[in-house]
Amino acid sequence: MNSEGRRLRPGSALANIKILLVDDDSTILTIVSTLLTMLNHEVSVTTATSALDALSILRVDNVGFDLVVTDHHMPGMHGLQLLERVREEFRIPVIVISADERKMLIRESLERGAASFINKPVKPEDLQDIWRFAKPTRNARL
Amino acid sequence: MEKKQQLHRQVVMMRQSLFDQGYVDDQFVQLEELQDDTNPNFVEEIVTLYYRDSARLISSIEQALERSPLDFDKLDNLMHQFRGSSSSIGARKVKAECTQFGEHCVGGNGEGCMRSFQRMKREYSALRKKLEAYFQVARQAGPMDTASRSN
Repeated sequence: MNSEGRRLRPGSALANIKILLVDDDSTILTIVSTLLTMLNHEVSVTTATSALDALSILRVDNVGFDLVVTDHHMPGMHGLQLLERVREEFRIPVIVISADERKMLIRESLERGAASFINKPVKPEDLQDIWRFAKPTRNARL
Repeated sequence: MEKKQQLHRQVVMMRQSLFDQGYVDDQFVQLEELQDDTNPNFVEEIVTLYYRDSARLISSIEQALERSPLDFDKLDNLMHQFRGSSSSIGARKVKAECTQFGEHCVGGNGEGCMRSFQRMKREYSALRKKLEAYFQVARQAGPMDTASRSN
Protein backbone atom coordinates (compact mmCIF):
# COMPACT_ATOMS: atom_id res chain seq x y z
CA MET A 1 0.00 0.00 0.00
CA ASN A 2 1.32 3.38 -0.91
CA SER A 3 -0.08 5.74 1.68
CA GLU A 4 1.65 8.69 0.03
CA GLY A 5 -0.39 8.15 -3.10
CA ARG A 6 -3.61 8.25 -1.13
CA ARG A 7 -3.06 11.45 0.86
CA LEU A 8 -4.88 14.65 0.02
CA ARG A 9 -2.89 17.53 -1.41
CA PRO A 10 -1.69 19.77 1.46
CA GLY A 11 -3.60 23.01 1.69
CA SER A 12 -6.63 21.59 -0.09
CA ALA A 13 -9.87 22.87 1.46
CA LEU A 14 -11.08 19.29 1.56
CA ALA A 15 -8.07 18.52 3.68
CA ASN A 16 -9.19 20.63 6.66
CA ILE A 17 -11.99 18.38 7.74
CA LYS A 18 -13.15 18.04 11.34
CA ILE A 19 -14.40 14.55 12.18
CA LEU A 20 -16.09 13.20 15.28
CA LEU A 21 -15.37 9.50 15.68
CA VAL A 22 -17.65 7.52 18.01
CA ASP A 23 -17.06 3.96 19.26
CA ASP A 24 -17.17 2.36 22.71
CA ASP A 25 -14.09 0.28 21.77
CA SER A 26 -10.87 2.25 22.30
CA THR A 27 -8.85 -0.20 20.17
CA ILE A 28 -11.02 0.59 17.16
CA LEU A 29 -11.05 4.31 17.98
CA THR A 30 -7.24 4.34 17.92
CA ILE A 31 -6.96 2.35 14.69
CA VAL A 32 -9.55 4.37 12.74
CA SER A 33 -8.25 7.67 14.08
CA THR A 34 -4.72 6.73 13.00
CA LEU A 35 -5.95 5.63 9.57
CA LEU A 36 -7.76 8.95 9.10
CA THR A 37 -4.71 11.04 9.98
CA MET A 38 -2.48 8.82 7.85
CA LEU A 39 -4.71 9.43 4.84
CA ASN A 40 -5.05 13.13 5.55
CA HIS A 41 -2.52 14.92 7.74
CA GLU A 42 -4.71 18.00 7.98
CA VAL A 43 -7.79 16.26 9.29
CA SER A 44 -8.80 16.90 12.89
CA VAL A 45 -10.23 13.85 14.66
CA THR A 46 -12.07 14.02 17.96
CA THR A 47 -13.13 10.78 19.63
CA ALA A 48 -16.05 9.86 21.86
CA THR A 49 -16.74 6.53 23.53
CA SER A 50 -20.52 6.82 23.66
CA ALA A 51 -23.37 8.40 21.74
CA LEU A 52 -24.21 10.66 24.69
CA ASP A 53 -20.61 11.89 24.89
CA ALA A 54 -20.73 12.54 21.16
CA LEU A 55 -23.86 14.66 21.51
CA SER A 56 -22.29 16.61 24.39
CA ILE A 57 -19.22 17.34 22.28
CA LEU A 58 -21.33 18.47 19.34
CA ARG A 59 -23.39 20.77 21.54
CA VAL A 60 -20.35 22.38 23.16
CA ASP A 61 -18.24 22.75 20.02
CA ASN A 62 -18.65 26.17 18.44
CA VAL A 63 -16.62 25.64 15.27
CA GLY A 64 -18.62 22.70 14.13
CA PHE A 65 -17.81 19.25 12.84
CA ASP A 66 -17.96 18.32 9.18
CA LEU A 67 -18.59 14.62 9.55
CA VAL A 68 -19.53 12.08 12.22
CA VAL A 69 -18.33 8.47 11.95
CA THR A 70 -20.07 6.20 14.43
CA ASP A 71 -20.17 2.58 15.43
CA HIS A 72 -23.67 1.10 15.61
CA HIS A 73 -23.56 -1.36 18.51
CA MET A 74 -22.88 0.72 21.61
CA PRO A 75 -24.29 0.48 25.13
CA GLY A 76 -27.14 2.90 25.83
CA MET A 77 -27.94 4.92 22.71
CA HIS A 78 -26.89 2.99 19.62
CA GLY A 79 -25.43 4.34 16.39
CA LEU A 80 -28.64 4.65 14.39
CA GLN A 81 -30.29 6.61 17.21
CA LEU A 82 -27.25 8.88 17.29
CA LEU A 83 -27.46 9.22 13.51
CA GLU A 84 -31.03 10.53 13.73
CA ARG A 85 -30.24 12.97 16.55
CA VAL A 86 -27.16 14.32 14.74
CA ARG A 87 -29.00 14.84 11.46
CA GLU A 88 -31.97 16.47 13.17
CA GLU A 89 -30.05 18.71 15.58
CA PHE A 90 -26.82 19.50 13.73
CA ARG A 91 -27.42 18.54 10.09
CA ILE A 92 -23.99 16.91 9.90
CA PRO A 93 -23.46 13.88 7.62
CA VAL A 94 -23.04 10.58 9.48
CA ILE A 95 -21.22 7.44 8.39
CA VAL A 96 -22.08 4.22 10.24
CA ILE A 97 -19.48 1.51 10.87
CA SER A 98 -20.24 -1.94 12.21
CA ALA A 99 -18.99 -5.51 12.39
CA ASP A 100 -22.61 -6.50 11.74
CA GLU A 101 -22.78 -7.49 8.07
CA ARG A 102 -26.52 -8.03 7.90
CA LYS A 103 -28.12 -6.32 4.90
CA MET A 104 -30.97 -5.28 7.17
CA LEU A 105 -28.66 -3.02 9.19
CA ILE A 106 -27.05 -1.55 6.10
CA ARG A 107 -30.47 -0.86 4.58
CA GLU A 108 -31.81 0.62 7.80
CA SER A 109 -28.75 2.85 8.19
CA LEU A 110 -29.13 4.24 4.69
CA GLU A 111 -32.91 4.62 5.04
CA ARG A 112 -32.41 6.62 8.23
CA GLY A 113 -30.09 8.93 6.36
CA ALA A 114 -26.56 7.60 6.81
CA ALA A 115 -24.21 9.04 4.19
CA SER A 116 -22.48 5.67 3.97
CA PHE A 117 -21.97 2.36 5.76
CA ILE A 118 -18.59 0.71 6.39
CA ASN A 119 -18.07 -2.85 7.61
CA LYS A 120 -15.50 -3.55 10.29
CA PRO A 121 -12.61 -4.18 10.24
CA VAL A 122 -12.14 -0.74 8.69
CA LYS A 123 -9.51 -0.65 5.95
CA PRO A 124 -7.69 2.34 4.42
CA GLU A 125 -9.63 1.98 1.16
CA ASP A 126 -12.91 2.30 3.13
CA LEU A 127 -11.85 5.73 4.38
CA GLN A 128 -9.99 6.99 1.35
CA ASP A 129 -12.92 8.98 -0.09
CA ILE A 130 -14.96 9.78 3.00
CA TRP A 131 -14.06 13.45 2.67
CA ARG A 132 -16.65 13.70 -0.09
CA PHE A 133 -19.36 12.99 2.50
CA ALA A 134 -18.34 15.98 4.63
CA LYS A 135 -20.74 18.90 5.04
CA PRO A 136 -21.67 20.32 1.59
CA THR A 137 -20.96 23.91 2.67
CA ARG A 138 -17.32 22.97 3.20
CA ASN A 139 -16.99 21.39 -0.23
CA ALA A 140 -18.55 24.49 -1.80
CA ARG A 141 -15.66 26.59 -0.49
CA LEU A 142 -13.11 24.87 -2.78
CA MET B 1 25.88 -7.23 13.96
CA GLU B 2 25.51 -10.96 13.49
CA LYS B 3 23.38 -11.26 16.62
CA LYS B 4 21.17 -8.45 15.27
CA GLN B 5 20.78 -10.30 11.98
CA GLN B 6 19.89 -13.47 13.84
CA LEU B 7 17.28 -11.60 15.82
CA HIS B 8 15.85 -10.10 12.65
CA ARG B 9 15.62 -13.55 11.10
CA GLN B 10 13.88 -14.79 14.20
CA VAL B 11 11.40 -11.92 14.04
CA VAL B 12 10.64 -12.70 10.39
CA MET B 13 10.09 -16.38 11.21
CA MET B 14 7.90 -15.64 14.23
CA ARG B 15 5.85 -13.21 12.19
CA GLN B 16 5.41 -15.71 9.38
CA SER B 17 4.37 -18.33 11.88
CA LEU B 18 1.55 -16.07 13.13
CA PHE B 19 0.09 -16.13 9.61
CA ASP B 20 0.92 -19.74 8.75
CA GLN B 21 -0.71 -21.04 11.92
CA GLY B 22 -3.79 -18.93 11.30
CA TYR B 23 -3.49 -16.75 14.37
CA VAL B 24 -3.70 -13.48 12.42
CA ASP B 25 -5.02 -12.37 9.05
CA ASP B 26 -4.55 -9.49 6.60
CA GLN B 27 -5.88 -6.97 9.09
CA PHE B 28 -2.66 -7.47 11.09
CA VAL B 29 -0.73 -6.38 8.00
CA GLN B 30 -2.91 -3.25 7.80
CA LEU B 31 -1.89 -2.40 11.36
CA GLU B 32 1.78 -2.96 10.53
CA GLU B 33 1.45 -0.51 7.64
CA LEU B 34 0.37 2.18 10.10
CA GLN B 35 3.65 1.74 11.94
CA ASP B 36 6.43 4.17 11.03
CA ASP B 37 9.37 6.04 12.54
CA THR B 38 7.05 8.40 14.42
CA ASN B 39 5.01 5.49 15.72
CA PRO B 40 7.43 2.53 15.81
CA ASN B 41 5.49 0.45 18.36
CA PHE B 42 2.03 1.09 17.02
CA VAL B 43 1.06 -2.57 16.57
CA GLU B 44 2.20 -3.54 20.05
CA GLU B 45 0.34 -0.56 21.53
CA ILE B 46 -2.86 -1.51 19.71
CA VAL B 47 -2.59 -5.13 20.80
CA THR B 48 -1.97 -4.03 24.40
CA LEU B 49 -5.06 -1.82 24.21
CA TYR B 50 -7.06 -4.73 22.80
CA TYR B 51 -6.10 -7.10 25.61
CA ARG B 52 -6.79 -4.44 28.22
CA ASP B 53 -10.26 -3.58 26.91
CA SER B 54 -11.32 -7.08 25.94
CA ALA B 55 -10.68 -8.40 29.45
CA ARG B 56 -13.71 -6.40 30.58
CA LEU B 57 -15.87 -7.81 27.77
CA ILE B 58 -14.82 -11.38 28.48
CA SER B 59 -15.67 -10.90 32.13
CA SER B 60 -19.12 -9.58 31.17
CA ILE B 61 -19.71 -12.60 28.91
CA GLU B 62 -18.64 -14.96 31.71
CA GLN B 63 -21.10 -13.34 34.10
CA ALA B 64 -23.86 -13.48 31.51
CA LEU B 65 -23.17 -17.20 30.95
CA GLU B 66 -23.65 -17.85 34.67
CA ARG B 67 -27.20 -16.52 34.65
CA SER B 68 -30.21 -18.72 34.27
CA PRO B 69 -32.02 -18.63 31.97
CA LEU B 70 -29.45 -17.38 29.49
CA ASP B 71 -30.14 -14.05 27.83
CA PHE B 72 -29.06 -14.92 24.29
CA ASP B 73 -29.65 -11.39 22.98
CA LYS B 74 -27.34 -9.95 25.61
CA LEU B 75 -24.74 -12.65 25.00
CA ASP B 76 -24.92 -12.04 21.26
CA ASN B 77 -24.47 -8.28 21.73
CA LEU B 78 -21.48 -8.72 24.03
CA MET B 79 -19.79 -11.21 21.75
CA HIS B 80 -20.53 -9.02 18.76
CA GLN B 81 -18.57 -6.19 20.38
CA PHE B 82 -15.71 -8.54 21.15
CA ARG B 83 -15.76 -9.89 17.61
CA GLY B 84 -15.49 -6.38 16.17
CA SER B 85 -12.52 -5.60 18.37
CA SER B 86 -10.81 -8.91 17.61
CA SER B 87 -11.28 -8.52 13.86
CA SER B 88 -9.75 -5.05 14.01
CA ILE B 89 -6.42 -6.45 15.17
CA GLY B 90 -6.61 -9.40 12.76
CA ALA B 91 -7.18 -12.05 15.44
CA ARG B 92 -8.40 -14.69 12.99
CA LYS B 93 -9.01 -17.72 15.20
CA VAL B 94 -10.53 -15.62 17.98
CA LYS B 95 -12.87 -14.00 15.47
CA ALA B 96 -13.91 -17.40 14.13
CA GLU B 97 -14.89 -18.61 17.59
CA CYS B 98 -16.83 -15.39 18.19
CA THR B 99 -18.78 -16.05 14.98
CA GLN B 100 -19.50 -19.61 16.11
CA PHE B 101 -20.68 -18.31 19.48
CA GLY B 102 -23.02 -15.88 17.73
CA GLU B 103 -24.54 -18.73 15.75
CA HIS B 104 -25.21 -20.65 18.95
CA CYS B 105 -26.90 -17.56 20.40
CA VAL B 106 -29.18 -17.29 17.40
CA GLY B 107 -30.02 -20.98 17.79
CA GLY B 108 -30.63 -20.63 21.53
CA ASN B 109 -27.98 -23.29 22.16
CA GLY B 110 -26.60 -22.70 25.66
CA GLU B 111 -24.25 -25.68 25.63
CA GLY B 112 -22.90 -24.59 22.27
CA CYS B 113 -22.28 -21.10 23.66
CA MET B 114 -20.35 -22.50 26.62
CA ARG B 115 -18.17 -24.71 24.41
CA SER B 116 -17.49 -21.88 21.95
CA PHE B 117 -16.65 -19.52 24.76
CA GLN B 118 -14.10 -21.94 26.23
CA ARG B 119 -12.51 -22.43 22.80
CA MET B 120 -12.47 -18.69 22.26
CA LYS B 121 -10.66 -18.14 25.56
CA ARG B 122 -8.06 -20.75 24.63
CA GLU B 123 -7.42 -19.07 21.27
CA TYR B 124 -7.35 -15.64 22.92
CA SER B 125 -4.70 -16.80 25.44
CA ALA B 126 -2.67 -18.63 22.82
CA LEU B 127 -2.62 -15.54 20.60
CA ARG B 128 -1.58 -13.36 23.51
CA LYS B 129 1.41 -15.62 24.29
CA LYS B 130 2.45 -15.70 20.64
CA LEU B 131 2.21 -11.94 20.24
CA GLU B 132 3.99 -11.17 23.51
CA ALA B 133 6.89 -13.40 22.50
CA TYR B 134 6.96 -11.86 19.02
CA PHE B 135 6.97 -8.27 20.29
CA GLN B 136 9.68 -9.06 22.83
CA VAL B 137 12.03 -10.36 20.14
CA ALA B 138 11.03 -7.53 17.77
CA ARG B 139 12.00 -4.97 20.42
CA GLN B 140 15.37 -6.68 20.94
CA ALA B 141 15.99 -6.81 17.20
CA GLY B 142 15.13 -3.15 16.65
CA PRO B 143 13.74 -1.68 13.43
CA MET B 144 14.26 -3.42 10.14
CA ASP B 145 13.44 -2.26 6.65
CA THR B 146 10.24 -3.59 4.99
CA ALA B 147 12.31 -5.50 2.43
CA SER B 148 13.25 -7.88 5.21
CA ARG B 149 9.62 -8.82 5.76
CA SER B 150 7.94 -11.58 3.90
CA ASN B 151 4.33 -12.62 4.02
